[in-house]
Amino acid sequence: MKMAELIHSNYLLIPVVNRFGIRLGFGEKTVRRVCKEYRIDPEFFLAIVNTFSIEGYFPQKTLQTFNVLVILKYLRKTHSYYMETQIPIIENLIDALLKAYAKRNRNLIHVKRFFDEYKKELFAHLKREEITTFPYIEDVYRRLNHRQSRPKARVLRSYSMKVYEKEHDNVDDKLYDLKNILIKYISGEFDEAICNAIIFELFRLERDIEDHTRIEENILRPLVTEMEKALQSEAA
Amino acid sequence: MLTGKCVLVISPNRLLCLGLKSILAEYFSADEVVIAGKASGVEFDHSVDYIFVHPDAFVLEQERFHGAGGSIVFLVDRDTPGQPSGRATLNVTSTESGIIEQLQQVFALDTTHKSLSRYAGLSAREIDVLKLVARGMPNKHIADRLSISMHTVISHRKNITRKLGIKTISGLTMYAVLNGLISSKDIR
Repeated sequence: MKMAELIHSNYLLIPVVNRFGIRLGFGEKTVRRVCKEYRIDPEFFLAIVNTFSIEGYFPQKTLQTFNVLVILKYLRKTHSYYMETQIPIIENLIDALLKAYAKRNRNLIHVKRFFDEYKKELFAHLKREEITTFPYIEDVYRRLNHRQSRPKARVLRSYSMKVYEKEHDNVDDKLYDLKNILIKYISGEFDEAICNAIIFELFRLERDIEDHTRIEENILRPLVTEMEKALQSEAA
Repeated sequence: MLTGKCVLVISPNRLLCLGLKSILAEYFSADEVVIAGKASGVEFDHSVDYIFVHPDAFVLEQERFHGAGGSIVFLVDRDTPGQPSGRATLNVTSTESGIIEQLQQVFALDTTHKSLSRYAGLSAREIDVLKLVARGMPNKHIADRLSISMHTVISHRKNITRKLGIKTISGLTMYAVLNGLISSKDIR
């Protein structure tokens, strides 16, 4: 299959593909060829792309054979996409919405305030994963692969996938609410085109985060839990 | 004001029907006014919001109105102070400005009556709970304030979330502010 055909089949994949460092302008190149050029494991690429595109497709077995560091790299890229691209896009649109009508429609200020709250929560969630969870996983990986010889059991006491599971709270609820408030309850004067664009972007973000959460919950967590078990039995 | 609402005017007096229709369109931006000579020729359904009809026609063909969903406004030919029948009335012999004033009262009255269904079908009690939740009050305090059990508060909250499609407290706060249930000064 050609890379361009893949994008035609689902244009929402564009930012997903970008996360692998792949840029537009594929010409007639096939998916395999592009992966080779960018030095990406085509199996991993396809697993991620299909998980995103095909509802119900979830190659848990295949994905669990991938190196955890590769998965972490992809998840980190996804985080920066949210923080540096998608959230700023929505933020700019909301600012544009306010700029045009805030004087006449005070409700829009509440939309902005609500979004800011959501943004803060989302960023805190992502940061927590980057500061605590991901380094922890890398540490487990290194210990398991004998690249470090400090006492093995120590790090496991401070954090584990069980803690992660508890902490992995649902930031999607606020996003869902914001969408619904705009769709069902916005009133007064506002710029329709901008408001529609905001809703489209919120749907897009929601879809992407759903996919991201699926990868974290169904691949990352079981994979690392297995690694933890292996480490513990080694230490015992 | 009446945009998107369906108004039905029933009267054998064609001039009255047309006159009312044009006033409703001009002053209340009604975009769907259906007129009929008598009730027997009309298909009633729940999408009707207001029905203007003479009291005698209403009494004679009362069973026809049972299924109708809208508010009934009686067309009368004198002022009816205090509205003894409990029904809204419109004195059609008034001057134009008099008619407009009466209509304004009819529609204003109706929004207060319908306030329950206005908020996505929330009951009066659910609205009480929503107002307190939106102010950031914990369940325990809400239960004390409204003299109901915690269990009841939780079940109200579940219903509110289901009816509004809003899951978070800050979402509910925003809904309450947007709909004038609380003022922005009430938040923190």
